[in-house]
Amino acid sequence: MKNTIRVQRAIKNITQAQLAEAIGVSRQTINTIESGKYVPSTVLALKMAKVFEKPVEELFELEAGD
Amino acid sequence: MNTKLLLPRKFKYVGMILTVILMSFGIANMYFEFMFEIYTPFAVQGLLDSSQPNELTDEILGGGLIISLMLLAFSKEKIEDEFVSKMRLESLLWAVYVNYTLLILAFFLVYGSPFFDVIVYNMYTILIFFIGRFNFLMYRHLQTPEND
Repeated sequence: MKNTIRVQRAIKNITQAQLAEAIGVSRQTINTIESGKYVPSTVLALKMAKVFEKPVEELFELEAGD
Repeated sequence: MNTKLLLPRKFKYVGMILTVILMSFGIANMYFEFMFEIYTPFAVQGLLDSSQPNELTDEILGGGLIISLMLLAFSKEKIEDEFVSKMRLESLLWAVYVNYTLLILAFFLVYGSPFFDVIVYNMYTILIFFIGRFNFLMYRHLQTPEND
């Protein structure tokens, strides 16, 4: 699964730590999500969508093989 | 995140201290015949034993060490998010695999009375392997550099 969280953060101009705080996870967890090492739960994905005010589909995208 | 089954974080420190103390006594008990010499005030009918007052070293050290290892293993992390839960479960799976692989090896490699030691250690190793693995993964996770 691909994600555009790094881009969305740049647009909103917030750091990993600020995003982490907003959705109640650690800064390191945001890092593992951004680098594609960890696929977050639906709850977490929806919380991120709320922070960025975008639909979830704009943050996460299925890849071939998923 | 559902963390109902985890203990508050302060228990981790209690567990750490108790583990060190009880493990030292445990080793003293296994190799230097250390005993607390505390007896039950009455005769105890064990499940299989004849009835007589029971010396409590096994109960104190065995029960105590399991409880302190569980405190150490199952208390919350500073930030207990879903990635931490995932590492927790994966470490538990890893610990079960490693523990029983080693036990199977011991079946083939250790015979006679030394096997008794294997059984004694095996009561605790599953928790010890879990604690080691989980804390290693946690340490590596927290080392993740800031990447903005």
